[in-house]
Amino acid sequence: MKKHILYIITLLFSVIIFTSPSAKAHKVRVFAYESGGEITAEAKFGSDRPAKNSAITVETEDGETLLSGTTDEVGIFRFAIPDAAQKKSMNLSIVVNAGEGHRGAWLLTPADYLEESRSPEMQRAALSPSRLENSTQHQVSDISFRDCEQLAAMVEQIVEKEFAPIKRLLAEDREKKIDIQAILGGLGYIFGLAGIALYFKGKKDGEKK
Amino acid sequence: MHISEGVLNAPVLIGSGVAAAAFTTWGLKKMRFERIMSVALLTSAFFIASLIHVPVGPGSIHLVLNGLLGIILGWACFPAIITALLLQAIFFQYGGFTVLGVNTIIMALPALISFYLVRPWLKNGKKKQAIAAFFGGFSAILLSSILMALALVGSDKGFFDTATLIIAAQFPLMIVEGFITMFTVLFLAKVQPEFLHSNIP
Repeated sequence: MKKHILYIITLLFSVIIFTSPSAKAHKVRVFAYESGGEITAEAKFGSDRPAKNSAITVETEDGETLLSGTTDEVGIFRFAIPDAAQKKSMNLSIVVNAGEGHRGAWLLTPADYLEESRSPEMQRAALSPSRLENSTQHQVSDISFRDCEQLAAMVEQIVEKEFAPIKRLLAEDREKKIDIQAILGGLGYIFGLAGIALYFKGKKDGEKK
Repeated sequence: MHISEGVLNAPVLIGSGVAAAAFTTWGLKKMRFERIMSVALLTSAFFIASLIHVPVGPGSIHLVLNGLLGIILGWACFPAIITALLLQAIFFQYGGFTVLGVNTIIMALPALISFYLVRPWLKNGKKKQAIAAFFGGFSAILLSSILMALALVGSDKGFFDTATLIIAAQFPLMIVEGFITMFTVLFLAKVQPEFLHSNIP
């Protein structure tokens, strides 16, 4: 009898140990970012399986649908920033419904997709031609304002490209991973509750006697 | 098998929440003192089973083990499953609080049906035991899929489309669960027969 219980417990623990490193979240994970004037939304199951051909909607905070579509073969959906959102600079919630009750959402704040709402000093600094002109005046005298603007746009593009994976990494990090503490914590709760149940049932039986 | 938050409308959530609460209370009332530890053991198994993934179909599928819980626990599968689902929502972010009731009904009601279907067959012979247990594990997932499609009516593409989609996606799981339930029941019949033969309602 005791041997069997020991056996069951060993089995339970070996299951925990073998499964926990590969444990993946089961829900739909959505991540969206702006690049080059359009918004890219990615939908995945866990951390590596793309949610293909899933319904995706862009909603305002009041639940009003601005536009909808489906994700492609790699779980990506791209769309131009909606005019209404651009004018009113509102929070956009990007909702993916992968069917079978799987749903995930990502909130995009105006700062994520509108240039105007980024810090104004930074923009002025990026666009201001005077500083650049001062330092390069002696070598290149005919540098024009348009060149600087182009340069700023190029820099912005490169930074965007370089930062996209970091943004993604941050988003993935925000997703809580299932770890051994969570599993053991859950098991602890179950047996704790069983203890409480035993106490109350035992008390009732004792009163009957 | 878990429905996420924000998919279902209020009447479905409230209705299933009330039903789950009623079934759980009844299950707790029927649970006998000496059964509490077996309930806790199977609750743990259900809690952890969701971490074991079977990579098939468009979504990810994980073990559920509701058939096994139903066959062994009977009415006590309701308190067991609702507790495990609550803890999964807290620790793993599966499902959620507002959908706790509907998820409980989706997984525990088929478990209870498995219990009534399979239990009478467990007393006679190893072969019958094996077939009955396989059928119990298989049908629990099948019924869960149908219940899930029912719950999603109105928020997805319509009942039959959703039902066929879910059943097709869960079919491999039905087979896997059938075998797991079969082996577990046969194992328990050998080493811990009182798990199966104590006359619980």
